[in-house]
Amino acid sequence: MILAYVKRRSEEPSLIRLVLTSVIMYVLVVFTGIIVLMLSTGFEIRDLTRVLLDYTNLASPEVIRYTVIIALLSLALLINVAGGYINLGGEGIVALSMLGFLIASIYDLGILGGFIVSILLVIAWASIPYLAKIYLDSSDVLLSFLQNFIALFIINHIVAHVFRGELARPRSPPIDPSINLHYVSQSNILYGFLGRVSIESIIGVVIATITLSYLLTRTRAGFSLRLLSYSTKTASISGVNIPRYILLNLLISSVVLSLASAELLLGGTRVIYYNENAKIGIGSMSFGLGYVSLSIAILSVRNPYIVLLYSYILALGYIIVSLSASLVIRVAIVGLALLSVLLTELLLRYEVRLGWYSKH
Amino acid sequence: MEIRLDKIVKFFGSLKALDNVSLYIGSGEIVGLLGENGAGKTTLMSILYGLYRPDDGMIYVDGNKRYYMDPSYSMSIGIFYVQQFPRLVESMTGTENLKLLLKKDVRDASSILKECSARYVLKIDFDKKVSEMTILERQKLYTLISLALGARVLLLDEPNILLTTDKEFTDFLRKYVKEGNSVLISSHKISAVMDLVDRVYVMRKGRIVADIRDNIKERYDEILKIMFGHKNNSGGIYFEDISGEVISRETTESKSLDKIIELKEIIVREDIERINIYVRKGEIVSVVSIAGKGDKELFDTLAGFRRSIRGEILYRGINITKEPPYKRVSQGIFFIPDNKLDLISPKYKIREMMGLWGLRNNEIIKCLSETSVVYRSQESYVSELSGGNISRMILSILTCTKPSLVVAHNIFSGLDLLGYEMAINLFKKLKSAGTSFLLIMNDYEEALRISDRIYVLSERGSVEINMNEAYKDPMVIWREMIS
Repeated sequence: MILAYVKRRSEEPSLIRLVLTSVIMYVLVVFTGIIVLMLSTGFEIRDLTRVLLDYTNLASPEVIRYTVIIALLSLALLINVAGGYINLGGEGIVALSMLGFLIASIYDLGILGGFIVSILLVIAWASIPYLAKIYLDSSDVLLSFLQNFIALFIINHIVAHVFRGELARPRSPPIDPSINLHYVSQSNILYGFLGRVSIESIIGVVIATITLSYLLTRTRAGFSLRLLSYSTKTASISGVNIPRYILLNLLISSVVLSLASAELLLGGTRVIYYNENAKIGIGSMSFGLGYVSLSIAILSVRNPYIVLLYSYILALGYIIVSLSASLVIRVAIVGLALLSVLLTELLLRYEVRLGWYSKH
Repeated sequence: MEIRLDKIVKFFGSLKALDNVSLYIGSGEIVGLLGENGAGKTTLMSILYGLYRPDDGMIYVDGNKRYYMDPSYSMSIGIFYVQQFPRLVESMTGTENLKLLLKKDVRDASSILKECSARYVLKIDFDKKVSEMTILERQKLYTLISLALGARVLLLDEPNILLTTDKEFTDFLRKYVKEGNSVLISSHKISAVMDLVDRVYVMRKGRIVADIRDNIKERYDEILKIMFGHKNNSGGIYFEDISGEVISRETTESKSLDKIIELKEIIVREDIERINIYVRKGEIVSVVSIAGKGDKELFDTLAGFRRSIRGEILYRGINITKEPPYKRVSQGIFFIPDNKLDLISPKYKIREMMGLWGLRNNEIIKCLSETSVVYRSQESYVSELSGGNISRMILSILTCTKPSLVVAHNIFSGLDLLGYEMAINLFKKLKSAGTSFLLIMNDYEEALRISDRIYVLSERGSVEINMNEAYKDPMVIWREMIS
């Protein structure tokens, strides 16, 4: 008798299998989704198909920029996840981090001052659900989710009232030109490829990926940090200094997250503005960025290198979003890209096996 | 119910965990499944319950052929598996755990448990949170929940301490099978099951190597030899020890008068009087109690997981009462909890868990080989190890880290005789190097074999036992425990 069953793989997938599975799933899921959209709606499909089939998008500067931003944000949330802290407030924290650069701009603190204020704000805000989880046994998921809205309301209030710019619409004054990252000049041959991605962000994403991967999988400190996600009881009985590792977790994630928000703000609109359409949220960032990055972080926690691949796939989805398609279709395309990442992960972690029994 | 396993084969990767295993459990029978750590007992039970699927072979339940079992089917026909570390929701009470499993009216969960508890005389506080229960209480609770759900066959994995210390539980098993139900008990400890079982199967390296149906007690030595293949020659203490030789009398007397740890006027629970205990350098001290009578609370207080109601703990003369667990560990105390999975996480790799204690590559191999841990590679997950091998892994960490004080709760649970012998040898070695031991145990006979001094923990607080009297009459300890 032949039987089919699902079995969890014990070994990590090879890089070739990882890339191949990701590409195949992306093409299958996103293109299938497009066909469904074509059948169910009667507009914008031609444009969408054109963009999807346009191979020049694969390495467009905007895709690279979003890949770097999503990767940095995912890596920041990944170290949280590794330490047992599910942070659903990614967007709120990015907004707070941006506020750090705005404060630095207003008080002439310079770019370094911007990073310091940003990191301190992130640590203070992100530590609330983490500490509450460890010491009060509260839900980090719920608390960070609630905090997300609070943070966005606070930012909205600040840019509408406290640090409001001179224009009629509620938005902050533009960030001072002295607060900027380093970009490739237009005369450089790399400009066409890197576009508006800063040198700091590119170096940051490479260092963060390699360091986090090594730290989490090969070092005692990284393993101590990961043990917190299993059980604080096990961690403490194994001699893990819990407060120190909470601080380490928050510090590393804050540095990486501040870099992501710096890239998003300083390489983009350079103002923080109230999102009038959504009545909440920051217009300076794309919708769902925090949730998408958290999803990537959860999927990549055992192998941080995968963050780069998944971020690229999601960035492609975001480029499609940037088209003038209807909101429903834009959300659907991002959802499909995310679904392809999820299915890739499932295929990499589990295998369908066929078994049979001999007759006696 | 009659269950027959026919030529079951199970592979884990390239490792053949079960090799053509055939076994029969008749109704009204208590069947023993004996074997050393890693012999395949737990794998076999998992297949019988449906946690694993066999790669070959057949299962017959009341004559009906099945290729494999699955837990929901097993439970629906009355087969229940009481694991060594029962899987219960820690944040819930026993009653709430039953409610989760009851498919119908959940309002009566408490009365169902009460009824079962009264019918089989199995006393347990099922309104207590599982996280506050010892492993023995959890095993007992899961047994009770199984009964409440209509268990007709109980699969008990390594309930050794329950069987040796809890007469109520053994009486229950006898009564239970008289009603036509069946029990399969896996164990590495012959003495724990020999008075209870009707038949025993002996497993070795994934095979059934003996099916012994009569004179089990008289064939004790023979079964030992079958279990381990040959008499061991690594020091030759275990055959002597299990027959009652007192190890602590052989070991060198503790010469140091330095108190390593001292518990002064400690109150761990409202209903338990003050505890006054001390351990000197190079001394093995046991605190014995009936399971659930303050043993878990005492361990948690020592480890720093809970604050004592009053009193203080001095470690090398310094007050550590308010220190968190990791600070105590950093000062050289090694804690081994009752639930070994609270120390060794099954979710991580062997290399990672050992690395936490500062051990790397060759050191890990050396440490694991010293306690004969059976494992595939350093990169394999702890979840692949049997319960006994996890206990051996803990011993291997002890071997290599050489702490100054070991505080352990039921340290020998899950260890087979060879593992037990290793532990004893290791303790002797560490003791002579100056390590002290504070062992909280439920098995007073085991405590007597290894301890320099013994305290009994009961409602009256801690009472030190006169060792000379205890050597003459070990029941002195038992009487104090139940006083």
